Order: sequence, then C-alpha cells, then structure tokens
Amino acid sequence: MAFLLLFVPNKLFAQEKTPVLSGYVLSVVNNEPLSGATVRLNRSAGAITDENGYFSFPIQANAGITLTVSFIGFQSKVISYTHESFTGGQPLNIYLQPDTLTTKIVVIEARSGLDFDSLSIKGNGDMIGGKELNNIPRILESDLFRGLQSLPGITSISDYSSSMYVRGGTPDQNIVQLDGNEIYQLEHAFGLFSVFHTNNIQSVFLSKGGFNAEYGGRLSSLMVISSGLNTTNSPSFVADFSLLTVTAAFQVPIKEMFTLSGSIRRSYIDIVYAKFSKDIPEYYFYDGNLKLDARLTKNDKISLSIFSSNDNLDYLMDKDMKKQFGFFYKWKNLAGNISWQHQFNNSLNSSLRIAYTGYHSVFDFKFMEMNEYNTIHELRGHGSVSWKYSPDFTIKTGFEIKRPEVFLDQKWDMLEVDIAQSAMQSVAFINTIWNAGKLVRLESGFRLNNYSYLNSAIMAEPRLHVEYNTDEELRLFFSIGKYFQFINRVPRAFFANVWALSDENILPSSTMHYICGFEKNFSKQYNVGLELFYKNYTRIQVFNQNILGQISPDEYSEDRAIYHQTKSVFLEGDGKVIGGELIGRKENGIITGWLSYAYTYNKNRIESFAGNEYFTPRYNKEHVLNAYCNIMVFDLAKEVLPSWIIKSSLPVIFSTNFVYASGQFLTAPTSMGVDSAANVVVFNSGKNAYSTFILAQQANLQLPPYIRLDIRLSCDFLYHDILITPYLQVFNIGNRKNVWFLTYDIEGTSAGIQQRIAKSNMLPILPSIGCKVQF
Amino acid sequence: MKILIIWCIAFSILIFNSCGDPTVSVEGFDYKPQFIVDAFINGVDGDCQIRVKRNFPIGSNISEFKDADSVVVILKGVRLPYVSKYDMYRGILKFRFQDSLIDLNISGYIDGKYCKTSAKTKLLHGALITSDQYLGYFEYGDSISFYVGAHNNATFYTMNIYPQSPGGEYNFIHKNPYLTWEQYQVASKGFIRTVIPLYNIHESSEEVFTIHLKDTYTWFYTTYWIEVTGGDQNYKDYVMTSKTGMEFDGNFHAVHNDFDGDGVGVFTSVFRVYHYFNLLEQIRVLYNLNNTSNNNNNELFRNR
Repeated sequence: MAFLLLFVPNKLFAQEKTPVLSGYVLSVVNNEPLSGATVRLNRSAGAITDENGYFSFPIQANAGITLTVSFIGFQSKVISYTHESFTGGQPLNIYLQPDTLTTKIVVIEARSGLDFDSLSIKGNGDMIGGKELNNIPRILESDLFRGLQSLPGITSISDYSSSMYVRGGTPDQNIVQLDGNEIYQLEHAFGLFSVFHTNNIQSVFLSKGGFNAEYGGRLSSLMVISSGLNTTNSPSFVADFSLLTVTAAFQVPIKEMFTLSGSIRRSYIDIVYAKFSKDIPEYYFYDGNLKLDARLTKNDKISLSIFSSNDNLDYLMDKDMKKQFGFFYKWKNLAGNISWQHQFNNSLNSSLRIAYTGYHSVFDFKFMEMNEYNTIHELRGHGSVSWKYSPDFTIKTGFEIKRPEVFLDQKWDMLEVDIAQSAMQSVAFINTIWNAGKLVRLESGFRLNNYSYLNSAIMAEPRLHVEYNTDEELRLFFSIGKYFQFINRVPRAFFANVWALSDENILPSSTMHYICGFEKNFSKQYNVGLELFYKNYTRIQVFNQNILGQISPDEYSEDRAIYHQTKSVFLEGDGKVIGGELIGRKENGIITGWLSYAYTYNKNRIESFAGNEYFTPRYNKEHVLNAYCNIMVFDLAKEVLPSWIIKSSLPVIFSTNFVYASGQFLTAPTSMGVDSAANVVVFNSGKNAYSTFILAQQANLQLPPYIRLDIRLSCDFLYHDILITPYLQVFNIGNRKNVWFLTYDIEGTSAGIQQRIAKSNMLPILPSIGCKVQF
Repeated sequence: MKILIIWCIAFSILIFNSCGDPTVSVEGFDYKPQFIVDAFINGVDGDCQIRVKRNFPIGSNISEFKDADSVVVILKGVRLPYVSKYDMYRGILKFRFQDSLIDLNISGYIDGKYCKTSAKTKLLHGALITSDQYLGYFEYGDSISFYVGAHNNATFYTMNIYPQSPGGEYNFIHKNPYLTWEQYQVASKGFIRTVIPLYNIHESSEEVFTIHLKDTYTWFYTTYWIEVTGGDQNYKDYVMTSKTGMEFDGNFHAVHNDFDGDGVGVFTSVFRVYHYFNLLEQIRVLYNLNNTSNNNNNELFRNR
C-alpha cells in the first residue's frame, strides 16, 4: 500500500471543487452501454468507457467543450457543449450509430499503450474490432487467433496450429476470456482452428504484456473478447457459409431492457465430404455462445453468458469393413458466468461475477485397450469496487477466488495414470489511476496471490504503467510488472491438451515485464508505433519428454501399475526474451493496412537439456515482417482511371496478407547410427534399424525463412435490406513449400544403406470460397 | 495512377517471393565419431551380448564409410571376442556376484580417429521364476498365459513377443476381429508393438504374476517366441526413452545415455528368459496327426 501512496500527490487530499463532465456512451440500436469507447475532450485528453459505458473528465470552468466519441464498428460523433449545459452535474447520454455495412474499412485500432481514464482498463494493449478481423485472409474459416497473428509480436509455431505465441510466451501463458468466461481448450480440429470465429465478435482487447493488476495467473498476454454484433438496426442476424462450416449469429433487443445475442457454428465434414470419400473420417466440431444483458435499473445490470465448444472424431480405418479398427475421441469446453454490476453514484461502482469453466476430453481406443479421461473444473468468484475519489484519481480494488480441479485418468493394458489435483487460489488486487496533470497518467497496482499448494506463501505482483501524452499526436509509455502462473499445459500432437496445476512438484513460474514505447500520429491517416520489451522467465515448466523412464508407480492394482504423482512431468528452467516491434499504419482512405516488423530474441535454459546451455526455443521467429493491406478496388480504379471507364461503385475489397519470418530453430541430430542387421534387431530389442540419433546441442539447425502471401476478395451486395458478402480467399497463393521439420529414414539399396532425409512441409495453396449474409 | 503502379509492383514482388521450394542443408554439423553401443548382460546365465556400431554424419552416404576397426571390447577386464556381424561381441561372464560393479570399456578407430568410451552397471544376478519354456499348442482366441516371479533387484520388466515366421497373407489370421491383411500392413507400422512393458510386475512383491497374452499380440499362425526381460534403471531408460527422440513438431531431444567419452548407448544388466508356443489354425488336425504317429504329447493340448 505504501508503494501506491508514493504515487499519490499531496494535493489529492486537499481537493478543490473541480467541475466534472461525465456521461454514458450507448448504442442507439439497443441502448446498450459501449464498453471501451474512446472519448476525447477538446481533442486532447482521452478516456475509455468502463463496462457501463461510463466516462468522466475534470474540466475547466467557463471553457467550451468538444467531445469526440468513437468506438469500433460505430460512427464517430463530435459534440460541442457550452459550459452551462452540463454544470448541473447530470451525466450525459451519448448515442452512437453503428457503421453502415458498406462503409470504408477501418484498420485495426492498435493502441500500443494506454488510452484510458476509466475503470475497465486492462493496461497496455490493443483494441480490435471483429469486423476488421473478418477481412484478414485465413485458412478456409474465419478465425480469431489466425487473424491476430498478423500483428507484430504474435506468431504461431506452424501452419497446422492456430495457437498464439506472444512475445516469446507459449500458448498456455495467455489469458483468454470470452464475455468473462476463461477458456482452456482453445482449438478445434487438433489445433488447426481456434474456437472463436469472428462473426460474433464485437471487440477484442489484446495486451501483449504489462496488463494491470486485475488480471493475472498467466505469464504472457491477456485477451478479453466481447461477443455481439455491431451491424445493422436490431434485431440483427449474420450467417456465414464457408467450405468447412456454417455459422449463424444474432442479436435481439427485448423491451429496451434486455439484449440477447448468440452464435453457433458447426462444421459439416461428416455430413457432406465424408459421404463421398471413405478416407475422410467422421469428424465434426461446433461451438456457440449465448449472452443475455439485462439492465434492470439505470444503476443495475446483470449479464449471463454461456460458451460451449465440442469436437467429435469417430475414426474407423476402413468404414466399409466389419472389422472395427478405430477409435473415438471428443473434447469440449463448457463455460458460463453471471455478473452483476451496480453503480452507487457517479464515483462508486461495483461488480460481482461468478463463473464456471469446464473442459473435458475422452479418448477410447479399444484395439490398444487404451482410454483417457481428462477433465478440468474451475469455479471462480470475482468482485471489485471502483471509486473515483477525484476527477484525477481513481482506485479499484477487488478479489478473485479460484478453485481449479484437474483430473487425468489414462488406462493402458497394464498401466494407469490417475492424477487428481485441486487447489484454492485467493487473490486480492488494487489498482490506482492518477492523472498527474494533463499530460501524465500513471497507473499502479498490486496483486497478492495465495495458492493453497504452497502453504501460506503470499506472492506479490506489483504493476506500474506511466504514460506521457504530449498532445493527441504523440504518446510515450512505460510499463513494468511481475506475473505468476499456476497452471501448465502439456502440448500433444494429436491429443487435446492436458493441464497440470502447480503443486509441490511443479512450482509456479514467474516473469517480469519491462515495456516502453511510443505512438505517433501523422495527420489523420498515418500512425507509427514502436515498442521495446524485455521479459525474464523464472522456473518455466517444459514437458519432460523422457518422463517414462523417470517415474515409478505409486501403487499397484491387480493388473495395473498406478501413477498418481506429477513428479518429473515437467523440467524446470529459465529464460529471457528481448524484442522490439515497429508498426506503421494507414488508417483511412482507399488503401488501408499496416506494415510491421518484430524482432524477438528468445533464449531458454532447461535442466538436463544439452549441457544446461541457453538455446532458442522451437517456436521462436527472430525476425517477422507483416504487411496487411485492404484496397477498395473500385474507389481506387475511379481515382486512377478516367471516370468514363469505371462507373460502378461496388464495394469490392481486396485484402492481402504477407508474412516473412526468419527460419525457426530445430534441435536436429548431428549423426546417426545404423544397424546393418536390421531384421535381427527389430525382433530382439524392438528398436528400428535407424533408431539411434546423436545430438550435439539444442537448436542447432535453422530452417529456411517462412514466407507466405494470402489474398481475399470480397464484395457487398444489398438486396432488400439483406447484405450479401461473397468472398474468395487463397491461403499461400504462391504455394511456397515452407518447411515444418525434417524426417529421417534409411533405405537399403544395392549400393548399401542410404540415408533419406525429407522435408515435411507446411500447408500448400488453399483456395476457398464462402458467403456471408447479414440483415 | 502512381499509387496503383507502386502497389502492383509491390504485389508482384510479394508474389514472386512467396513461391518456391526452399532447401534445407543438414550438412556442416560438427561431426564427432562415436561408438553406438547396445550392451546387455543376462544375469541368469552370464551371457553378455554387446553390439558396437559407429555413427555416421547426418546426410552422408553410409556406404562410403568403413566400419570401425581395431575395436577392443573389454568387459570386467576380459576382452570379448568378435563373433559375427549379428552377434558381434559375445561372451560369458564367469564370476557373477550380486551387485558387483561391471565396467565396460570399448576402444577402436573410426575413420582413423582413436575413440574410446566406457560405462558401468551393477550386475543383477540370479534367476527369474517362470513357467516352463514351452507353453504348448493353441488356437487363435485361446487363453494363453504364463507366470513370472518378480526378482528383488529388477525394477522394470518387459515382454517381447515375436513370430518365428511372420510370413504373409497365407498364414495371417484372417478371422481376427480387428484387421484385414491390408489394414494390418498399415497398422503394424504404427500401432502393433513388439516390446510390451510389464508395468504391473514390481520388485517388492513376492507374488508370481500371471501374464495373459492378448489376441492383439498374435497375427499369424506360427511359432511365437516370448522374451521376458527384467532389468535395472538403465534398462528402463533404454526401453522407455530410446524410441522417443523425435517430438511431434520435429524437434529431437537427447535420450538417456549410459556411456561417457566417445560413445552413446545402453549398458544394462538384465534377467532374460524365453518361452515359446505354437499357434495353429486347427488343433484337431494336428491332434489327429499326432495320434496317427503315436506321439503321446497329449498333455500339451489344452483341455477343451
């Protein structure tokens, strides 16, 4: 607390009576508050509305007021007031009109630092609209994570995975929340797609580091997704047909008091493609969410949100045969929460949320007599009170109580893994925001963790963010924070993730974030941002690939050895990440987009890995160049060609996404042993003829650069108030054979035994079409 | 127009750069000649079987390299003779005492460079209590079992079952409920195991464990050999990690290594016993044949 008080000026406690301008930003469609809207006062001081759409400013007496209010997916509004019009102290209600669907493209509003004066801030981060994500070309299907990977500092390990690696952090280090629901299994189709499609996303707040004390429990990034439609007058409906799935989303206001929104998506591989080819397995996935917002009174709002996703694979090696060699595999998420927000007065708010998150996977392979049940249950309570002590000083404090339980039950013919973990995590946090004059903003906070496995230890996470705005055109910022993580993921190739809680064998990981940067606007069109960061990791947990040799059963049943402990599941290590991200954006006009460059120097050191030396992890891409561009085709043609040639004004959008990434590092063998008596060895020891590989060091082979160009062409047609948007997209249009990894084999020839080293490539060219319908 | 031209040029450059089939060079690693050793001492009879191979640079043409020469294998002070290409170095450890430390030293020349490596292991001495070697005649689907008694000093057990003549479609068990011959050929590359860890046998127990053979272990009508091995921690590491060096994303990780110096591999003391049985399509046929020839081996047949 003393730490916080250092940043509180003395004059704070001897306040003058400063006039305050406050209000709510609401959607004209359904009267819903718009959380995260930007409100600027006289084109300088800025604020972001909280979850109630609320904002407030200190103002000078007898001054004229001009407010500029903007929110992604809505038309900006500029309003002028005289001082007398609001001195009564009543909050203003400002209504925003949704963007028309055929409006110009708005580039992702990437705020690299802070831009806030509200209680809902999450620290350093970017706010991204769902509509913008839709324009980024992708593989077959709209996908949130793949869209975000066009931003600097966010990468994937391969084309086959949608998992996000943020600034050298692994996917399990990201907090991902949809409408307050924390989700554990983030991928469909064995990692190919994320569980979030972009048709029902209102906005995404993404912080690549330095997020504030209200959030924690993971080391790397924060993603807060708000579902809903920002499209036409209510009620509204969106349907999207791709080659893989059908998606439907809706939003319906009910009696000015309720808003119901939701979506559902289902793949139809099993219904269509599997009927024509017996090689295509019976596989499908679906996901959906439902959200009900109820504004009971002007000061009370209750929200109910449910999310579910499900993957089902029923594999048969030969569907025409009676002999049933196959397996069954399914995994699912189920999460829901109810929250209540209450506003006592203009300066005092509270919120309370109770949430449940569940994750479950079942695998049954009768032929191998193997089955697996993998379950997570998590109950979470979150409460907070925010108090605007003065126009310049806001304090928010709260608690979070989590009770995660993890169960893993694997059975093989003579072995059983039966692990049950449960923990209680109690968190208290406090966050303060101080506007130190017109130019400097300072946010500081503390997060105190108590984790049941570690007795009574209190783990403190201080956070600090300082921002200096010279004017609307230039912003400098600096963030520092400590973060703990209490859960780790075991990544698997085919199987859905297994998670393990921190316990006496798996101690919590931690990291410090140091971030600084600037953002500069040039006129209304161009924007340049630079961020530098440093993260040091302590006690990171990496799955122990040699675990089977190192564990012993805890007990024996009649026919099985049973393992209960988490000992040796992970190897401990440390690491460091240093990087920089430079992005230049063009935000308005016929051509919009961005060009970004990210540099990430990432070194880890893991016990028993290659002499305990630092090495570059497999997922790291040291240099990444991204170019994303949208062109309004006919507008451009009209501008550059004689007017008699182009008369149409069809809103055709051509999008391109280019990525260049320096090659990833592999740990590859430097020599190999070959047994010329292969047949004998196979039967005597079970080893293959080429099974001995010798490693000299970690990360010793750099793959060639990864280069890919994707395109997307879409056009809007309006037919009786129904907007139809067919689209064509081509992933990897150059069909470049980017290398994933190498495979090693030998073959006997008349000349002797030859090594056969082959490339395993990433995805080839993938054209696809689809159509989106909105009304 | 200028914007359009610039954009078209830029787009063309991007397309040009996003094509191609890049190559990966795996040459240029610092190659270090090393021995690759599989060394087993059978504590039951003292049989020592030591296979010594050499490594090859990744990407090289193996046929261009010569075997290691002047290889000397010394086990507990005794030089083992070279037997054959398959058995390599073999001998009998004459004086065996429980827990005595056995050292293995190997030296020789690889590509003209002198290399030497060594490893140590504790000898497991004694015998595994087990069924008779010959288990009998069976039909597919019959219950086949044998027993093994845990030994105090072995920490890990495996069973290796393999057909004496796997043959092909002609002796494939077509009536199995799982796989056709075509499916078997695919599945045998990934799913069908030859080494089966016997996790449930443990050293602290004095019980005799009965091992039931599953019908997924047998795919051909032929004679089957069962090799039961009880081993130490080195053996466990060897079995559980030696085939898992490559991860699903292509990364390799180092597996357990018992040797120092210029060598990698396993040096372990094991108990190893063998069983065998015959799997026949119809026992009655054989029974009749046996009766005709007055071969009085009826006790081998099961009571059906």
